[in-house]
Amino acid sequence: MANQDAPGFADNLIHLPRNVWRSLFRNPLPSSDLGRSQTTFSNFFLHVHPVKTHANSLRPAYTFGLGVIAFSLFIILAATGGLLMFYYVPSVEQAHNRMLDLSGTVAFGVLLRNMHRWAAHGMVAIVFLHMCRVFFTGSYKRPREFNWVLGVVLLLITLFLSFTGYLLPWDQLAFWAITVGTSIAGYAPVVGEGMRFLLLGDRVVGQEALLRFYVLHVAVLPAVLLALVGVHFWRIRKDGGLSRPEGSDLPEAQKNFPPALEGKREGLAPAAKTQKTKTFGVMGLVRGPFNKVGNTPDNMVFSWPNLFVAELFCFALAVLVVLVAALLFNAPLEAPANPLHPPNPSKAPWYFLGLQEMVSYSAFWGGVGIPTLFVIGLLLVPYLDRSPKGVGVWFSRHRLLANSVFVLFLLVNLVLIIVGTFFRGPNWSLVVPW
Amino acid sequence: MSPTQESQDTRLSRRFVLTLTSLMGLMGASGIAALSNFLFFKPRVTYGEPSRFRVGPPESFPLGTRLPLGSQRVTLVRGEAGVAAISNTCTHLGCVVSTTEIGFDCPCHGSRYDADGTVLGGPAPRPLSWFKVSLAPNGEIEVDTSTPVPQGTYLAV
Amino acid sequence: MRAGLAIISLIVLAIHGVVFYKQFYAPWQDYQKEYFTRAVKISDNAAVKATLRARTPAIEQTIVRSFGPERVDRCRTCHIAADDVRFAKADQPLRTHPQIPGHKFDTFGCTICHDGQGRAVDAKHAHGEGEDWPWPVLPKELIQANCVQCHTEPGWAYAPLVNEGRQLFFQRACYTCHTIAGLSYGSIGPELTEVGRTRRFDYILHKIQDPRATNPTSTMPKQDLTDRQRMALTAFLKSQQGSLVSRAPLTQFVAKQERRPEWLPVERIVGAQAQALETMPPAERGRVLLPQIGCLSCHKLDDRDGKVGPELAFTAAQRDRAWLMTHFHDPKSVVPGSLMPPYPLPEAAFDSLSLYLLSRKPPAVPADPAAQFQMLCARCHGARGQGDGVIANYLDPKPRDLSKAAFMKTKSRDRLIHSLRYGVAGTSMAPWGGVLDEAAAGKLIDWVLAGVTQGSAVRRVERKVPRANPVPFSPASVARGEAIFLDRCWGCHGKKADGHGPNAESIVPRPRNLRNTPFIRSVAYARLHESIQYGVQGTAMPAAGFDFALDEKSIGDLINYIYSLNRLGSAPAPANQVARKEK
Repeated sequence: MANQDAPGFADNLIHLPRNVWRSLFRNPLPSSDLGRSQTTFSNFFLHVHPVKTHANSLRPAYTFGLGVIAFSLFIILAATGGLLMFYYVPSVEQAHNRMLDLSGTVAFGVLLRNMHRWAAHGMVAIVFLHMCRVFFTGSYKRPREFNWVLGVVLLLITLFLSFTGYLLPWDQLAFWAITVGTSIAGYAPVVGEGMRFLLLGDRVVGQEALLRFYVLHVAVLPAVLLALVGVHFWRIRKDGGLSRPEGSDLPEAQKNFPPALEGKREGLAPAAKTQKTKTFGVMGLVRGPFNKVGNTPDNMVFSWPNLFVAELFCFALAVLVVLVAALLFNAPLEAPANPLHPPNPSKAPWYFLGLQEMVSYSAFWGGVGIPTLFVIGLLLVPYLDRSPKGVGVWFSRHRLLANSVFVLFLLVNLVLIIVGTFFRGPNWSLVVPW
Repeated sequence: MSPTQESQDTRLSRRFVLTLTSLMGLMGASGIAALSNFLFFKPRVTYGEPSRFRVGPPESFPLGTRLPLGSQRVTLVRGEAGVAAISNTCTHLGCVVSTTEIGFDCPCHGSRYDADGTVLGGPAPRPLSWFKVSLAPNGEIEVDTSTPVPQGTYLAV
Repeated sequence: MRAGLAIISLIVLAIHGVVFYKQFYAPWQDYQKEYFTRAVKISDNAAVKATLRARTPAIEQTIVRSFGPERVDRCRTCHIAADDVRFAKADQPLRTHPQIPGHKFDTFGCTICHDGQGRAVDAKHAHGEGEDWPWPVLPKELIQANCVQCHTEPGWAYAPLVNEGRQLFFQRACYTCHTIAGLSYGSIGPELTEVGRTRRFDYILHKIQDPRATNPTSTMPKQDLTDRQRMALTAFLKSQQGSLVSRAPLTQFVAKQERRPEWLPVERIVGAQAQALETMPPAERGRVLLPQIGCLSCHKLDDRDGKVGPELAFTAAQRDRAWLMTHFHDPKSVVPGSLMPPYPLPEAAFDSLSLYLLSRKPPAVPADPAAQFQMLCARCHGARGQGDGVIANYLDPKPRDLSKAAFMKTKSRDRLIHSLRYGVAGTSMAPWGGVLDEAAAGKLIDWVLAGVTQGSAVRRVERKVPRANPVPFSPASVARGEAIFLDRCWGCHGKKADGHGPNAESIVPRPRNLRNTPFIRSVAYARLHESIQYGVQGTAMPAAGFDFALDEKSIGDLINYIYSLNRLGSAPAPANQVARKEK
């Protein structure tokens, strides 16, 4: 009793691949503006992005893609880290041996470990540079204050992630770096020793510390980081996208944007053609900056494909650099940790060397006081500098003071780190490295 | 008031009370949970050397004793004022100092301390810690390396 | 909904509060607080009082790493007064622990002597109660089993129960069935080298008390032991933990590589006496040796009776030296169903034992058949001859139930007298011809038939059966016989013809073990043929000749198959009983 409308079983079987594909990918690859909107709006992985992005945000020389690179590095770290977890055991007896196995018998063990290490160092540096970019372009100003605060918190979490991961190989480098680092934490008044005890799970760095650092590094901190990164991205949307200079919405401003975008004019909203018909639905009432829909010149381009290509490029670049670094340079693995044999000097990881250098002058101020003040300063920056001028431009003249102060702090930090890395020898005495 | 308004008011206030109660209950539970988390993270036992231990009756330590106890990293001294315990852990990078007649020497990076643990030379940033010494019920001296005391604190026995 | 939410919230809050509160009031905290209060009261030293007042409850632990794998002992969290001598009369857990010189708690912890679960801080788990902890806290008598892990000198004065247990291990013949590395070799029971570590002490105790309680098919005899002896054996076995903590890894490694010895040196069993034994004449040596090596934990001799094996007093009348030596070396070769393990002793020891047993004049046998029956037969066949004697359960095949007329009255008198006087090869039925001559034996049999056997309306029928196998022995005949066997016989006799077929459990008497070579060899062809063709009345053996339509040739094939199982290439000579002694 086969009905023309209802397909028979044989038909279902024949058309199985097509039907499966279609049930998965219900929208075709976009070829029209409507398609572009739909894809960005309704895809699970893409829908945190806006349907249209401002052309200024896509300028490489504006952001250098630092934020996306940082996130790409995080993905690389999560992937390589997850793989490394299959062979690593957080026990003081086994950890170092497992690291040796990873470097020896595990297929791609060396590559994965190197990738993880260099991506980790890279992420700390890139996150820091991203913060610099945001500062120098004044992008922390209203309405983006809270996003900046989130960013500072994310920086701290990144540092903490790197710190906790540093201990896991359980070699001399790891053990003593963390011993020094946690000793610095112990200098805080009143709560210092207590916090150190809580962090280490014991009075000295040992099995408890290894276990706690491991749990923090593979579970707690990545989860917190992911959650806050999610909020960070959401905030970008709510704040109206990345910051841009005044006047970048005007048609004249188009000349500032890369020729490539202009030339392709892919999906670029034509300045003249204004249609009053709406091409996508608004899902809720939005207060604050909003994108006018299709009837004013706004220098917005469709996210598909412009934004996504740019993001993919950043990701690929991150992968390339990490791969090349991993192939050229091996992550260090020193002798197994020996609590009775401190190397002289014992140095913290490079991002804390500035701290350690300061500590050698004053334990409290160098290790606790100044860093705390610095972090508080960072957090308060958007609430203390509320002038709306100079946003969206690098080194705007309106912000000479702020930028100079920040550059000074950068330079001091850099100098301290360089001194700590190259110019300090046994007993923390000054040495010349050549 | 009209009946509907009255009943609306009652309903509102009942709703309010119930909501408030739920909020208090759940927030209170969260608060207790947070406190419990803190207690959870604070370890109640550690697996290294015990920080509180007994070393023997006071008679075993005659005047002038300077006895290093290797694994517990403490030196027991007997002065005229009584018994004290000085840490053997160098404040520079954590090596075990050797106990001499007149003080302590660190073999790792050359720090030197006098008999009371004050820094005489070398890279050590702080003097050696002194630890709490007390008398246990069975008459033995008990040292507690988790409780530092000011330099010069003796237990009179 | 809101109301429900409010109620749930309040309950959740209450639970959080209660759980949080209880954190601070665990029983161990209460015990410690009680101790601090009481200790302050009875203190007279201000410094001590100050320390106690400042103390807050904390978990007390000792980590022991120098004696084997790491132990963490938190017993003193509750037993906080263990080293405070003023609490000697207090109730547990606040009672003082006796001072043992040289054994500081901080060095040894607690579980290394007492067992128990050191890491727990509540009583139930710390004492190892329940099934999940293999080392519950030991009763006081058994602590010495842990002492000897370090104090390994043999005969150490402070482990009297362990020493006694070691003696019993040999005296009660445990060593013949169980292996303990470096001490004994036995392949019948499980290895006991590490039993102290793998089994709970109460399991060991109950197993010795009643071997079949947890394992109904166990062949371990239930020995007559006093409570103290049982405890001694348990202490000794608990001390067998496989690796003594004080032995260096190299020593342990070498010990594990030791090959199984052919026999044990006698010194190991009798200790210092071995020297004296050397100087004695052999029979005398046998007399001294016999009670010490475990024979009497099964057999009966004089006033000692293990109630597992036959009486030894009549050996001189029943056996000769050759039989005894064979039996010592491998009891199963003469009685395949025997429980007796092969004794791992040197040849000289067997010599002495044989000489001694053969030198003992058998006791005088009374003239009255009833008294004879009680003296000679009742041990196996039971006081009323029903096959339920004291040792019947340990014999395979079980002693015949003489009260069944269906069996007894259908066998010829001559056959019964023959079995009595010459024994039944391959079974525990010994030849009594040494103490009963033809007339006496006949009298006894008559008495049994009249008094023991119940029922009368049974007649013996003469059967006509070939005296020799009509079918010559050949592989083809054996193959045919096997086919018939697997078609008809295995249900009772078992696929391996060992009497353990699926039906065997419900049949009394049990189907014959057809691999009992001494037995098969001793039986004339005619009897085998008759049993198969006409069945065996008084047993479940059916008349296969009729029921299964087996003709003479088929039965011949079947019997050839049975001979092949026993490696008897052709029909054995009819008169081939085991050596007997004529009176």
